Amino acid sequence: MILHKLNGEQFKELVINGAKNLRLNIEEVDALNVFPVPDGDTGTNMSRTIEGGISAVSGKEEKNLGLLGKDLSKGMLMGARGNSGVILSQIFRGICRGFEGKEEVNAVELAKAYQVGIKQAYGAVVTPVEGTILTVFREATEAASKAVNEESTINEFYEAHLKQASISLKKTIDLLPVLKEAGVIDSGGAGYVYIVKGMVKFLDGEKIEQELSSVEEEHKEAAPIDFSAFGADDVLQFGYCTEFILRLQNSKVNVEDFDVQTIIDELNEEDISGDSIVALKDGDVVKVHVHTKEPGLVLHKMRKYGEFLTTKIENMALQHNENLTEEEHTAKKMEHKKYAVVAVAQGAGVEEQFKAFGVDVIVSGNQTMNPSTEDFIRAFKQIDADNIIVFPNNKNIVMAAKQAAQLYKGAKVKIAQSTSIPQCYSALTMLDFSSDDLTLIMGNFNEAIRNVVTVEITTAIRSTKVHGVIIHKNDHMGIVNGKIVFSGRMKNRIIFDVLRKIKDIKDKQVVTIIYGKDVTEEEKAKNMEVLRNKFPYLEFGAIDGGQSVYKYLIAVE
Amino acid sequence: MNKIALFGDSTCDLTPELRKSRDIDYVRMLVNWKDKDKKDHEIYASLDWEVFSPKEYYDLMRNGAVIFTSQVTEQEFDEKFIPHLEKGEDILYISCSSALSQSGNLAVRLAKDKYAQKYPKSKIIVVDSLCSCMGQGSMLLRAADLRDAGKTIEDIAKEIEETRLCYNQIATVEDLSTLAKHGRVKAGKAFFGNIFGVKPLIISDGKGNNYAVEKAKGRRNALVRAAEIVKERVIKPGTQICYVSHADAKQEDVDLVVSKIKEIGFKEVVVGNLGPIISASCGPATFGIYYFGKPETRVGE
Repeated sequence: MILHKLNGEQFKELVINGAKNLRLNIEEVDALNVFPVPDGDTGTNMSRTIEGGISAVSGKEEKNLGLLGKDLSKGMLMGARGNSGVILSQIFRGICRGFEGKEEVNAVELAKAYQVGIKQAYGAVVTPVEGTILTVFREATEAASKAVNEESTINEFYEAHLKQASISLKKTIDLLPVLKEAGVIDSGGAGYVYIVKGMVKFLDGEKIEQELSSVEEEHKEAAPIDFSAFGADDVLQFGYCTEFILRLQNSKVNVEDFDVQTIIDELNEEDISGDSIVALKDGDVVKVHVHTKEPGLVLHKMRKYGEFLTTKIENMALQHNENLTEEEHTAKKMEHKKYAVVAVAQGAGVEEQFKAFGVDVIVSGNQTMNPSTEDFIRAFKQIDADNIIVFPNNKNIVMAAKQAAQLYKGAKVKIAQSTSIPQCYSALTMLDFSSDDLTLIMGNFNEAIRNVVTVEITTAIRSTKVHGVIIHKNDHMGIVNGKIVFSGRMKNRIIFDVLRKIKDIKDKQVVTIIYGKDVTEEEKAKNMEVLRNKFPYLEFGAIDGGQSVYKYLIAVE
Repeated sequence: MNKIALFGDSTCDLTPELRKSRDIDYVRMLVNWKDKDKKDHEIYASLDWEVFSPKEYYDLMRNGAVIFTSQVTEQEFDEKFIPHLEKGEDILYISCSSALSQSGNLAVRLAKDKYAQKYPKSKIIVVDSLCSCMGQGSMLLRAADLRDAGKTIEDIAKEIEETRLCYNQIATVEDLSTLAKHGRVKAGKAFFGNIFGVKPLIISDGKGNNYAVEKAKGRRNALVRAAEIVKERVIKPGTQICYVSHADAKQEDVDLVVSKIKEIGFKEVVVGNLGPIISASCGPATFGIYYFGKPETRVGE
């Protein structure tokens, strides 16, 4: 099929075919992991991200490219998981911004929209690293932009885009030393190339047969509503979960300058007494979620800003077909706090310990399934607090947490600089809100975090060489602050073997060991014996974390 | 003007030599514990350490004895106060913080209900130190200076009462298990979190409670931070003695604290034992640093 112009429906089909192609190759992308650790998840993360966008537009027949793009990009933003996923969502957010106000685009306009994508994606990353998906997307867009003119077809744009993307992907190995040493290409870039390949295949007339996982399915398992839960004599206790999408009207407000806080403030007023308020503004559209006993009043009042696109009002005493409902009930009961803490954790013992330290909501950070932006927002919604402090505890989760913090309006959300469970553990032991000064509190957390040396010990799943360390399959491998420092076979002294590689271990005082689920009592005891013997001046403590993949997670302070 | 007899109690940590040279006496509290055979033991909380040496006493705790303390008894007050009252002397008793011990309150009651009728010419004044250990001890030494300078008992009591919040304490414990058992230190909810590796920094607050105001990770960090706090709060270090008391801490830790405290520029740094009462609720290896500084007005939750 030759396209001279691209409309909303066609773009949606292109993206779906791209997503399907990625899903077909998901395992290959996941396996592109520098470390021989079974936690590669880039393919999965990118798939879930793009599928979040597709779910948002599925069932919609929107020919208008600008309008389609809005829903698509918002869905991706919410579904974004992992750093590559977040960057992907920002790429599409930029592209869709470029589509704004356009029914359809030609190749030159398409190229311009893609250029907005470059700006948006680079702007979303604090320190953009070349040799990643960013480079692949940028170079591909630049090449395709040069290749097209007013006469060009959409096909030509995507073919040029794919050609350069494939070339750039191969070059990532030379741009990032760590990739070169491990002999792998960048996984995010690889995921992106599969998406573009899928898009080009569609233009070549090949529709890929592949099931996509649907965000709708995951979160909204349809269950029959039991109306008997609210009888003739029941008293309205929880109120109504009220959601609506409002199109701001220029005849009523200044759409561009309209601050969504106006709506939040109004919903907070006594007559509405809104709860669990979430309000997002995207262009001239405002999406609002609120719990209130006065939904009629809400609808009445909101019309002074615009007109409704959709509304939904549900009695919260009933079990609705959304997983959210149960959590929202709990949210009702969660007591108001000045400061609340959300932490990503994995392993029953770790979760339990974090909760004992005062973490309000745990976001499950499964090793191969990073939480999405939406997962964070769902956690925030459970909390009634002025300030929420988030511990992402994994480099690959930081961006999704940041994205959620920017989108969520119900509280001031701050992200702590913790990129590992041990860092979070240490910061939580120092939890102290008594100063009532958020800057100071965050400063203290981040200082505690900086003071931690994170040690991870796991089993190598393949032989390789990373950071100059030769690794054999099934070795016990020690990673200190993200760098592999040791690989060996002696399981009963592995912790000592790794800790001795820490340069300033002599200046450290406290070592906390979090045992994974596969550590035997014998290993624990033997390792501890060696440690106490070799480092008599250190204070050792241990907890059963129950985490998978990592036998030992260790905080050295 | 009557002669003034100066009294502290078992928490004032003044050595026999100091008490003798400055003519200060003390009333004794009691400590009790169960031995391995569940047999009860009770002895006076003596600052002369005649039953146990400090090391033996702290080792008793290290070996698992949970030591409980009780306030000064009426009998002890009678035995210590009456001989002075018989001689027609006044008594100034600077007591352990009323937030930690009822000894001072008992003395007030006895003075009013018992001694006043019998010895109407003697004045008995009780000043609540709102502190303990060498904070309380330093107040007694200051009171001795004032007495020797010929001040009246009222003037001495007034000055101590007006300045008592300036007698600052910063303390830290080696592990939190003893504190947890006794519950004698106030701290905000979830302050201690997991007790492993976390060291509280404890002040004597505006109401005389031991209050954990900060925490540090690791022993050395806690000791260094304690010295920093002294530096932040001290007034004219060059004119005063800083007292570093500890309950048999490691020598390297003592050296670290003393070197850090010396950097602040005190006239003198005196190292001593942490007395039997306070160490019973804080545990072995506890450090307490005492100095004259900004008034401590913070109050624990």
